[in-house]
Amino acid sequence: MGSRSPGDGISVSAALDETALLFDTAFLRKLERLEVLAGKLFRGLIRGEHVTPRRGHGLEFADFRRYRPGDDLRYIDWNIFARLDQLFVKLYASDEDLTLHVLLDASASMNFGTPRKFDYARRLAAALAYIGLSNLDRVGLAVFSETLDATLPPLKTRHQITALLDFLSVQPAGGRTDLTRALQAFASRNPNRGLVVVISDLLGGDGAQSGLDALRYSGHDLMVVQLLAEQEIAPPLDGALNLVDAEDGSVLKVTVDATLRELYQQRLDGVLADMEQYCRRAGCEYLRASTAVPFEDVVLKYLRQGRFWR
Amino acid sequence: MIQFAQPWALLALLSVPAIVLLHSLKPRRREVVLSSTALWREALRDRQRGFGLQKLLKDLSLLLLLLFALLLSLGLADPRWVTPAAEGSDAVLVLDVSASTQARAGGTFSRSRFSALKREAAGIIDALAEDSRLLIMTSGRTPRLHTGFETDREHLHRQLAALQPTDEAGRPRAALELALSLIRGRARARVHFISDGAFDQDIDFATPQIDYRLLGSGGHNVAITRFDFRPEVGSGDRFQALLTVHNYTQQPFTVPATVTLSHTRLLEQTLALAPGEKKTVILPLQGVAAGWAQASIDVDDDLSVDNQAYAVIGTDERLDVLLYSPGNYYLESVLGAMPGVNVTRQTTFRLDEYRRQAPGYDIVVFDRITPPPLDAGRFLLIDTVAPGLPFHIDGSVLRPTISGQGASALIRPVDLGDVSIDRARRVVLEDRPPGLQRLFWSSETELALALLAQDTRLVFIGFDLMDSSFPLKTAFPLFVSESLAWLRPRETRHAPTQSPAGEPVTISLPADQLDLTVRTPSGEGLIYTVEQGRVTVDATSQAGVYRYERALTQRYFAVNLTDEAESDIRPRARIPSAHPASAAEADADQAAVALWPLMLWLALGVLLLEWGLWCWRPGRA
Repeated sequence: MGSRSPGDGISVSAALDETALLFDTAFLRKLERLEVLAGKLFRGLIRGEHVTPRRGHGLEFADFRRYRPGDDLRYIDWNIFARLDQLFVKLYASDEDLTLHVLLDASASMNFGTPRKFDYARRLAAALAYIGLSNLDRVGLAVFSETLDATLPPLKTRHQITALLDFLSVQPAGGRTDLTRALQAFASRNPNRGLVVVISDLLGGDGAQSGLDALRYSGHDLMVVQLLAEQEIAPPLDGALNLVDAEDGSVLKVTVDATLRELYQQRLDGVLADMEQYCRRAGCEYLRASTAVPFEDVVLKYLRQGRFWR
Repeated sequence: MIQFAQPWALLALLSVPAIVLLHSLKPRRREVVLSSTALWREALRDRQRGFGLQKLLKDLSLLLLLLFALLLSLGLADPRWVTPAAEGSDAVLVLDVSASTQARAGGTFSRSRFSALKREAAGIIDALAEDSRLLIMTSGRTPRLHTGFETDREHLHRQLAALQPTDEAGRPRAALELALSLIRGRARARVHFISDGAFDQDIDFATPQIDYRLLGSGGHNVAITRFDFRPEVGSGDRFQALLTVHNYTQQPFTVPATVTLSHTRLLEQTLALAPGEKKTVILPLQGVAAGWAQASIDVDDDLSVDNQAYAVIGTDERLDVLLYSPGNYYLESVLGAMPGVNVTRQTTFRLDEYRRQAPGYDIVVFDRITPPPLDAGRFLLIDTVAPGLPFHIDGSVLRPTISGQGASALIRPVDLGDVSIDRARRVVLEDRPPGLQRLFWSSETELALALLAQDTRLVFIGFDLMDSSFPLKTAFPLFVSESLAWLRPRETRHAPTQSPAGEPVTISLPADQLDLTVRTPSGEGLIYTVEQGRVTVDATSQAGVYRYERALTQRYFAVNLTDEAESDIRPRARIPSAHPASAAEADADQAAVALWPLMLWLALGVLLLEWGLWCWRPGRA
């Protein structure tokens, strides 16, 4: 694969020589390869002509859906109400540009795993952002832990990828996770609807779903990437241990045996299944990723299977 | 009630707190940082929902381990279930009557050890329950039963009172084995062994059914441990007397020792003995000696029975010869000159008298007097033949010349070269039985024969000694001596001359003797019935010289203690303090059942259960 992008001939590798070790040359080559592959997937599309699942208030009618509290009463279809005695609102295809928001969990729990989940997540975020920019979308970045730690306003062009990578490179991981607070804060600060990709391990507490709900209720289309380290999926623990929580420092004295490992596995499966079920119910995209799988494979799989990026 | 034979083994119970301590030890924990412990906390909560069973199993495992350690410790301590055998239990009372129990009491006893032992035994009889039975036996060189299993207290007391100490060396092991065999199969039966403890520790004190009561203490003794006569090798009339004196005390002793033989003093010597020293005196003697000898030491010690010892010499070499002869100077001279030969001459033959007298003699000689048909016995026939022999006389031969001499050991050393015979009987051999030997002969007739039949030995000389030069030749006494030696084989020794006290003595007697009276050293006469020519004298528990008559002759045999171990009267046997029936705690008649096999099986069962639990434990990796 060459070092130039197929689009405008700008060499990403050359432009990013000074970026941190996280985004080394090999990584940048992978981005270029992803760009080519993504380009094939977006072939024939032009800016502003995305058929996004997001429904808005344009001129072209798209669909109906049940009325939810808070919907604009002007879009209620009274004819249907007269016939069915049920409230439905009319949806119209949006003709707005798509804004891609990548929200990256930077809590202390993301420091775990080999490779670190945070590194993996940053690469994943960079890849998605790069592909988004390549497809003429606007791409914004936000890093959160207990709340929004840092944000990068939406970028418009691929030339700004350097700033994006720089932003990602300098972000530290630490602190506790408060998804509700962080995601609600993001929703309140970004009223413009868009596609929000949340990359997190979702292990930081019970507020994941309420936080995601806040994004959903703000009109964002939502995609959840639950990233787990291989050591979390199949923990290689045994014997008498002091388990230290990376976020709050609490210590759990435990003797790990096959029974406890099995119970942990059941609990983890339950948490993952709950999140998957929630996403399915809420109309979100859900992708479970392991750090053992190369991030580019995740991206491509996502691009091929996800309904937002077809 | 449970008693422990090995209570020191209860120290193994210290393993119980050790197990608890080990069980309560916390493993050193490794610290692991995780992204979140929330899921682990929930998993732990899930596990703790089933923790009741887990905890129970863990605790049960600890309990089983503790139970195993407890059972093993108890088993090692050899627990016994001891029940008072007050009702219906049998007991055997074994009373030590060995010589050491005669010892003068040292400190604790007023008279002798034996009186204290009897008092203890009487106490056991008194403590017997109503329906309990007791058998009394004594332990000397051999065990002796004095009663059966009796419930009659009065009878038992009478039997006990009649018991006296013997001069025998003790063999308690044999007595205890016999006693245990008498109560075999009766779990509650017991053996009470009452002794002064002056024996070597060769018995198993751990035997639970035996209640040992060892009551001896102190005791100092100087003893004759050997007294014997022995011939000097290669010498007919020289012999040695051996006397060994042992000082068992821890102080030096000066002991006057004397040896007398038939009231003649052979030795009078003072022996200086260091503590524990054993000294042997060898006394060379010369001459023909016969009779009994006594050795004595004059010492004031606790045991007197071993201050004397006895020995019998010469009497067994005595040969009683009954001679029927009208008169034969040469023959009588030769017989009279032979040591130990006692000749009784009869000039006339009367059958009834012969039948009465002959069985008491070793050899009967018929010289020119016709004998009756001969039964079993030893005979020398000179110039006469008895009816029923495989040869007879048919006329005579004048001046026969000795032309041949047999190879028999009887005639081999005899030189007959210059013997001349004026007239000899013509002997006709009717057949040649296997036991007939030709001794010497002429060309005309047999001159001397020897016959060995089943119960008969016979030497025949076929000519009158007075009609020959044979009595004048040196060959004659040699021939007579060899003939007597051949006629009297070794097995004609009538009895041993020395015997340990308590050891039965067997005496051979003429076949027609019906009974035998044996005088003990105390003068008591014991009458024994003769069976098959033998008498076994079993009442030899008293040391001294025993007398009896055989063939109208006084005979002796000596009985001595002379036992190194028995003369050491210091109590040596020690009951282990843990013995369940040691004297201190054996006041009651009790029966003990060993419980250690039960403990062992229970411990194994618990171990198997623990192993099964470990295998079955849910979640075992």
